[in-house]
Amino acid sequence: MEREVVLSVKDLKTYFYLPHGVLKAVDGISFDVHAGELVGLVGESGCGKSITARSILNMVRQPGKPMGEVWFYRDGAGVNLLEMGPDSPELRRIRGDALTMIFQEPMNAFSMVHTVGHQVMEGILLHRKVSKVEARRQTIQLLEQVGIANPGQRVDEYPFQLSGGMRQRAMIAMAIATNPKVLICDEPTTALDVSVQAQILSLLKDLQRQHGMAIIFITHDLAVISQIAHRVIVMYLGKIVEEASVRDIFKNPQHPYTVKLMEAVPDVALARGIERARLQTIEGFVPEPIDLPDECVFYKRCPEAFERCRTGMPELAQVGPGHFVRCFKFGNQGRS
Amino acid sequence: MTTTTVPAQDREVLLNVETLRKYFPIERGFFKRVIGYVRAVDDVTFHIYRGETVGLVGETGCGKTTCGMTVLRGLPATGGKVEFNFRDAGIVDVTKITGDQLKRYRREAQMIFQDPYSSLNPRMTVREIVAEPLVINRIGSAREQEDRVAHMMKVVGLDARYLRRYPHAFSGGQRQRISIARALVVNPSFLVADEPTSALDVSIQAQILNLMMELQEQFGLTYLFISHNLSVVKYMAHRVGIMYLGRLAEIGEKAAIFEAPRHPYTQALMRAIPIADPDRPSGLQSAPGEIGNPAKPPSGCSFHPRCDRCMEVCRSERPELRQVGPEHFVACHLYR
Repeated sequence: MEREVVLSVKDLKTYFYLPHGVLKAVDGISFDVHAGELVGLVGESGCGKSITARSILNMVRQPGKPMGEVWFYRDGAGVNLLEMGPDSPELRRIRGDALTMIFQEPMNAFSMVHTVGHQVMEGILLHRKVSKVEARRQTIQLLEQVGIANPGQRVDEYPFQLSGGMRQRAMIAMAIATNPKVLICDEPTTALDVSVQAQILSLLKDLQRQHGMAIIFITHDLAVISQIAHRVIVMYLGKIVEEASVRDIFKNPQHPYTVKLMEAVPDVALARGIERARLQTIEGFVPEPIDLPDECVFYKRCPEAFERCRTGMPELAQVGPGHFVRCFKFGNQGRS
Repeated sequence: MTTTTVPAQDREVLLNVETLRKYFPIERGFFKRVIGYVRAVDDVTFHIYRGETVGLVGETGCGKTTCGMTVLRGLPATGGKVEFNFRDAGIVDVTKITGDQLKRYRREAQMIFQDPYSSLNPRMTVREIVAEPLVINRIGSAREQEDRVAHMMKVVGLDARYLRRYPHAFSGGQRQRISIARALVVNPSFLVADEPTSALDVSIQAQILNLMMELQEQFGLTYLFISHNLSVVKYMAHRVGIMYLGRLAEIGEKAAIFEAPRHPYTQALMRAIPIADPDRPSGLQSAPGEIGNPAKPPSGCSFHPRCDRCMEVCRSERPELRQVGPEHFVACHLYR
């Protein structure tokens, strides 16, 4: 699938300068996102996946600071979002227009004192030259498109009057109102029930098919990602440890962390016939990324660690078509 | 595949729940006039064999947590029976007991809560938290309590050195181990686990699920395992009950529920769960609409507005739980 690159993250580092040290939430990650592609960003709590999303939009708050490059391509021209001021007018023209985001908790992302319609309309009025009447018409149409019944009535209701699933639909309406090229979803279905989750995920897939937008989908739920992603990036302690097609990640994982993670999922264990047997676990816990020793980030928990893993962080090595792994098992050089 | 059920000769019923009801009054006005009831648990009937795990599954608001709380006498039942088979006193309806008998039931039946961040008192040390049930029940001397607590820490895989620390010093997984130690310290035979792993990461979830299984074998524990996560329930449970709007829609052996579900709601739920396997598209379909309001459940079968096989009788008549196979009960008019 060789499609145009719409977003290119290059050596992104987001550090938080705290009184007791520098917290390296995101530490040198690079990836491309193509038009119409759904890239899954997975990892456990604290791996830096949400901070990556916020860094792409250049909306990390103090004391955090994103460094590196985030190139956003539109009409053949690229702009580096991290070069723009976080509150600059140029960035605001892109953010919320061509590059939008959906958050995990739809209750917190809405203003409580404005109607749903008002908030969806805001984006349209800000980024499109249309009248209020036209914006309202488009809003009602959008609410209908995302599957909200009685959009003509719902448009004048407040967020608390909607159920969790409805709010998430309204948030999607808000995010696609300007027909973005890239949509970032941060755990959009984690707070929802399975049947509502299924509805929201198929809605996102349909919208992607219709509009051809690229989606970066952040989640800790491997089952969800297996069903919707084209490509998966696995993160651990602020670094990409493996990147591959969704099939390779699930059927042929190479990094010891990915392998362990897969075996910890009850579904995967059951599919392999491990009934009522023990699930694989990863020993220990994720350390805080402050003052980490100069060794592979997974060294202390890795079942396959050997001497070399203590010498530094391995580079991403290609092990197959589009399949990259950051592990010394694949014989590459350490970085000092 | 190992056996999914407790051998027949050991099938002694530990807990028998019959037409259990828990209604919450809806009050209005200065005099708290009762204007209706939320039927959180409505005529729920099931039993649990000694040494078995029964999973209770359903979406938000289906009454699964209330059911667990009512069974434990955390909430008084509005109607129905909960018969518990005491090791020494025989079968007793625990909805009616008081005084010493109730105290004994509370030792026999313990709970593990969902959120290990709010279920542990932040002002108590781990030693105080784990010892509290012993202190309240006046079990053993101070010295014996000390030994028992240290022993429990070992059982759940925590270092006894941690005893003087406070909950904030522990990760989510460790806190859940502390709650398990607290639940087991009085040597109960029955545990209600309410979403014990839903706040945890996959690799930590695997650790806790493994621990619960080990403890079940070691101490012959019986679990009522409440969860909205079907793959976790599939992994843990022997039998599974599906709840919808306060009522049990279906209950049966795990294999029957997952491989050949009979109730249209169970079937819809199975179609909605994503399976962590890109080669097995789960379709992400689900019943249309959203779960109804338990204060105003639909007439007849409460699932009928969302059911694709709805008949005339479903609108007017409430289906009763009927046996459709060995240990398999369904509340649906399709199986008359």
